[in-house]
Amino acid sequence: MEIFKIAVTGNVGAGKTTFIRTISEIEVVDTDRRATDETGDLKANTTVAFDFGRITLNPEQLLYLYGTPGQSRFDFMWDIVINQSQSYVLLVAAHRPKDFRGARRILNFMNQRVEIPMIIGMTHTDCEGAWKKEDILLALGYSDIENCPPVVEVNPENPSSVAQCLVVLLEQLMSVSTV
Amino acid sequence: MSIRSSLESFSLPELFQIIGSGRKSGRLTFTPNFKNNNLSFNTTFELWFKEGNFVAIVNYSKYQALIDNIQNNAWIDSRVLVKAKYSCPANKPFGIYIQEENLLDELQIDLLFAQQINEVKQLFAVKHGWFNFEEVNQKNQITRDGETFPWKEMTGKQKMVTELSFEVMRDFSDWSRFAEDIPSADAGLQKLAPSWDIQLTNIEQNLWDMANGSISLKKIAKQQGFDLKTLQYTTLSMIFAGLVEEVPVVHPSQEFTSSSLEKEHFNLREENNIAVKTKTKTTISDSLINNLVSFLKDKF
Repeated sequence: MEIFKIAVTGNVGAGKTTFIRTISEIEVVDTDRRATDETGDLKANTTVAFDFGRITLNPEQLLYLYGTPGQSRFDFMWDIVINQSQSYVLLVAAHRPKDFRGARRILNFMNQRVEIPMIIGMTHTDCEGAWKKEDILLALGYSDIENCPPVVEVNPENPSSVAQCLVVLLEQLMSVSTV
Repeated sequence: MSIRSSLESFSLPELFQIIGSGRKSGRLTFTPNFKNNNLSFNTTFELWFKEGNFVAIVNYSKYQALIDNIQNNAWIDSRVLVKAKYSCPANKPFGIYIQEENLLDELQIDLLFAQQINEVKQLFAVKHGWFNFEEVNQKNQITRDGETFPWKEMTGKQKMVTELSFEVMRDFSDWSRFAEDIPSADAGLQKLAPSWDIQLTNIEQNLWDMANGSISLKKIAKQQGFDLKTLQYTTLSMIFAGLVEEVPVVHPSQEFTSSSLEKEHFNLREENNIAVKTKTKTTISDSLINNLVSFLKDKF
């Protein structure tokens, strides 16, 4: 069986759980719940600390979506999630500048741990006080806009928007693979 | 769209970092609010930037501050100054014009600019308020209202914003405001700039020399005999200046391998084997990716 695994990361409240829940075919196991039987493969008999969703393409091919743990402290749980994943989406809420430094920390952490394709999903871009893409990228440490990862505006509550975001990530993966 | 926020959400040194790294030109409208309990902040300020450099400050409570400062120093006769004010061409900094007219010399212009810099530095003490940064277009105008640079308030001098911010933060004391930004004692540092023109202090130089991502602040403090808190504050000032970046420390001996942790904590069973198999790029088949893209496009 082939499984493609994507991590969904970002600050607390960036929309990770919603993103996964919107597109998952199974009920998402969120950070504050015990795992259900449906996700038995992933759970021990303890409360899980990350979100998990799944899409079945066919009996032999699956997509797994993992949300990074909710807390900002990086621990072994983060390592487990990101080392399981073959690419990731960093969600950033465009209207919450307070979170940009935290998102930058996550980026640094991810870059330090893995070298896998990634994209930035900007949420809440139509909200009052939302910053424009270029300024958020600067806050994330990308002073050279030409050399930053793909950025997608995404509404975590909208299935087609989430799907489009994942397509961009997969295209990014394909472009990296063919280079 | 502009860069707007409360100071509680995004601090002035963070904003300066963005203006500097983005080499931005424009107007920052800075409005402290009543919570600051400081009457000198009871007004609105405009700070102007050109390609990441600070060029002028306008204080709404002072009309023609630059001309007032020249008058206060009694450097130019009042009538001559008024005449110069009206004869200065548009789009030319007043400081440059009066220097060209031999009314002031370079040193005097430097002193006037230093006064402006000092006024900006005071603003770092403001805890509560709002800011709004609007960029200028190619005609040097704020798109929204067509306003241009405040030429009569400009000396013609400029200073890199990150350098300005660094000078302020070095002497900063109210670090509780940046509690969430203070780097962890377990974090390491990575250099962001290849070199730096400012003379570094002993502690800054040590941090700079050890900014290679492999040694934690805690360890640097212990090795070099620095107070850890002081080291963390100094680090943050260097982060704001765009000199270094906080990164997690990587210990080669502790790098994650797949995984006793997983077995111990998650009992991943067959999933665990798949994880090992799919971790390398070669295990992702084109068929899987193509099917996924088709599925996502068709189904949603």
